[in-house]
Amino acid sequence: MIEVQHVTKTFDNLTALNDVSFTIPEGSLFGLLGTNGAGKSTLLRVMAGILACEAGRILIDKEPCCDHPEGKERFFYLPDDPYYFPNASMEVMTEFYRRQYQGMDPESVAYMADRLELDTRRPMRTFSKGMKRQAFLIMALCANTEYLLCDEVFDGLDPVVTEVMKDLFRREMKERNLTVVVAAHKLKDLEEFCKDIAILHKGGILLAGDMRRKAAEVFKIQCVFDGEGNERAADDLRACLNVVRFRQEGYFTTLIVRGVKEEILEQVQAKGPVFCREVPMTLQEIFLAEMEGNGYDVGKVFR
Amino acid sequence: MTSAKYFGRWLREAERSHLAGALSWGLFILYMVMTIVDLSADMESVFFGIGSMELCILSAGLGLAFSMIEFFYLFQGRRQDFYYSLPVKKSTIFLSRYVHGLCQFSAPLLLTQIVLGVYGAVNGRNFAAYAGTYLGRSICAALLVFLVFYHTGIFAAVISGKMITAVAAAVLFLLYFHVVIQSIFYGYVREFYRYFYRIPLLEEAEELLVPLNLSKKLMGTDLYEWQEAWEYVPEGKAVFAAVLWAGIFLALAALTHKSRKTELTGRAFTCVPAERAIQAAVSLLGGMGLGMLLIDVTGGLEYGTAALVLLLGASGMAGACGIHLLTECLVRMPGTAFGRRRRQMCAAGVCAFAAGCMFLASEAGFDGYVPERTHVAEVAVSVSGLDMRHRQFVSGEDGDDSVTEERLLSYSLAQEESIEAGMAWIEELAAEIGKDPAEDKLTSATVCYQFKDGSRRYRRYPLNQKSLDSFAQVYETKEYKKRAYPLVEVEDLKKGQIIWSDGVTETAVRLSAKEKETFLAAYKEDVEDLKMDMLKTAFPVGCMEITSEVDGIYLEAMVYPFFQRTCSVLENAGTDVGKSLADYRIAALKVQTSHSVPKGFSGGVTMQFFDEERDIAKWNGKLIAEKLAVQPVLCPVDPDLRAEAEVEEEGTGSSVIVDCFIRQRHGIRGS
Repeated sequence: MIEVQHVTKTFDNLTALNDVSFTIPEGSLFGLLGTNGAGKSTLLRVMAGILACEAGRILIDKEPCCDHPEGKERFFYLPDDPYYFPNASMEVMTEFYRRQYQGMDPESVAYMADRLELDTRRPMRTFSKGMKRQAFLIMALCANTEYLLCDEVFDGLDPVVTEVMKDLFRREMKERNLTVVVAAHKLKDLEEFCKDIAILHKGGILLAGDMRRKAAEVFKIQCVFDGEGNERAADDLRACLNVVRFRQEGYFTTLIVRGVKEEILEQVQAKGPVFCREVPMTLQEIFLAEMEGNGYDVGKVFR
Repeated sequence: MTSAKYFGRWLREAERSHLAGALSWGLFILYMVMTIVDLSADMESVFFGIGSMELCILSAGLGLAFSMIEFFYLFQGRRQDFYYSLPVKKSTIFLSRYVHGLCQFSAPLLLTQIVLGVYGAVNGRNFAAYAGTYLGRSICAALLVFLVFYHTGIFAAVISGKMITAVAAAVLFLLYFHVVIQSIFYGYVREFYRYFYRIPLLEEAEELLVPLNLSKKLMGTDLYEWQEAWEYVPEGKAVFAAVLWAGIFLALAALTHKSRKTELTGRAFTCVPAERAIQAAVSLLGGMGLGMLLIDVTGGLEYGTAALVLLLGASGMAGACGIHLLTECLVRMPGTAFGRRRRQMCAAGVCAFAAGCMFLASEAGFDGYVPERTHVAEVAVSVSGLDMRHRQFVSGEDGDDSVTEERLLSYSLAQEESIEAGMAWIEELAAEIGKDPAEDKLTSATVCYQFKDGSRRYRRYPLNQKSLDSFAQVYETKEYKKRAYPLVEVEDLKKGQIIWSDGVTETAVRLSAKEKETFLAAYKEDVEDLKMDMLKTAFPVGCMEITSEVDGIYLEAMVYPFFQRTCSVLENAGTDVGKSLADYRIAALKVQTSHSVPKGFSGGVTMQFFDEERDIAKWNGKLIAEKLAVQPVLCPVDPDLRAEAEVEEEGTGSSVIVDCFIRQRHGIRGS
């Protein structure tokens, strides 16, 4: 389990992370979502022990990770633009990682590289951006660490390889309880892949946790009112329900409401709609609802 | 154990870059081959360890180069992210890099020194006995030089976020004290202290605080004698200074690295205190430098002390502020306010001003300084132009102090009578403070006090005719005469050869043992009766060159016409002491006249050739052989005229070219 406790990191006068706290359970696939400059990469670098934070701490399995080799052997950090030695091939980098991580499995690297048609003896500088990304993902998975910290992990991969990599992640998680932390600036990269997601905005956490579980308390209701009912709908419904989002287009009203499903439907029915039904919510809608409810302009995050 | 495991892994990783190894092995093997070639030609003046300037430069250069090569990752953000995300402590990476650099230097140094030592011991007759200790000392000295530069470079790399600032910081550390002492302190001293000659404290500071000078001292690069070099042990204070220098920079580097922020890579500096210290040091230098420059350009002293203080204050503030703002432009991050650290800027300006004022305020104390008699163990006096050849006098006036230095060593007075006389005379000179000595300056006297604790202090006083005349009280002491006329100290001349030179030809003086005794006694009596004033009256008639067959010591003794007893003994022995250049037949004469020319122009020299007897006759009585023009101040020659006389020897008919001067018409200059 990774515990991020009240982490604050500043760069000169800029607060990159402001009292960030959340917990990443073991064996989960945790997404860090945020716009450019939100603090995702900084948080990952702090978690990896590259940057020291001014306040707070990060514990991995109850042990601090910063400048602590035994703790650091538990995770593999894969940055957005990973470093490799000049002229080094995948083989050379694997050998280097093997000396750093006891669990590194060169044979698995060779096998997976072969499956993805990557030449392990070719200098990595000759690889395309996507090939480099695949190569490092393979090495990261084959390091057999307990945790994997990835920044913009699928950026640059084509859809087919993205799916292959996602499958590999899922398999590793299932087989050896791997915990993966993935930072991304687009929700679609994390949707259907991450169970737990934290949204970072201007260095602070807006939201963190299992979004599907959060969705269990929020419902999307579509209904149609006629005449005076339609005009009064906004005021009437806001008065009796915990409305997170309200949108009215002509006679067509869409509500996102927090509460107990039966009670909500009962209250809406009491207002005499012509038509009323509950519709399923997408992850994006859950986020939008939560964040707009908190008064944030989240357009950038989901664009 | 765990740390050792990680350290071992990372030490092997440090070998990934072969640049340090290739550079070190390549240069050391090249050095070894070239030295073997030199040694094969000359075993006793070529040194492969101590005494070798090449090894000193190689050690220093590799120290600086390795600090940048090994710690280059500190300037690469991505690489640092990569390293620091791996299961290793930052300090382990730092230490492994440090040890790798040290090994890459030590291994080839050891190997090549051993090979050269073995080669020297096998091929050099005398070297074998010294080989072991010389080799050990050479390796230690080279290693110490390397460490001084290596650690300085490492600290510069650790506090910098860019390669360029690291190099600039390293250069600053290595040269800062040199610039401060040479350009600023000596500038102030020359400008404010009228009686300045040397300040041993500043000399020592420059030797110990400037790494290159310290390295030269450790390596004994100024040694030329084989035995001296092979037995050389660096002074304790130099070794201590080097250890301290290397230790402080390594400790600072380790401490700074511990708190170094990775995210500051790419900026000029990654350590704010170091940035501030460098900025303050450079600003201070700027303030003092501008002050020095303006004083030099405006001739500050001419306008009085108040104007000088004002100039120092204004220039100190302006220079410090200018450099501070300039460095701000270089190190400031975009978006941060311009003109930060205003207090620091002002403090640097005030310090620059205070430094100038400190020198200015100590002017009277420096110039009027005369030590208490009880503290002085010896006092050495060298009067420029007294008992020295004209060429030596001119070169001394032009700034060459080699003759003065040699005089201060040999003219050291330790007897009570002579010290008393010397101190009394110096007190008179120092009392002249406040008067403009340059007005009627005739020559100068350099004084060195050696104190009972072994320390020395120097002063150089301008002398006018009066103060030169009063030097007679020192000149006429027994001890001074012993230094000026070393022949009086010789007890036995029986085993010596005496050659008489009249400036044109040389002849052996044949004296029996008894005659030699008589001669020596006569010379001693003449010297004892000698008064300084007498030297104004005539040039020497000749010079005796005495070589001892016992110890090979060579002495020159001038014989003046008023050395009547000596002249008489020589005449009795058949030496024509009255014969001078005027008595020879001059076949041709070349006269060179120097004229002063405006600054920036060349020329100013005219030459005349005479081969007609009547033309030569006009010059004949005025010529004095260069060898005999030994009192340029008391009995001067014309400084603007030089001549070359082609003298025909009567007996052989051969010609001799004699360098000559022209006697000055009015005798003593200035009188």
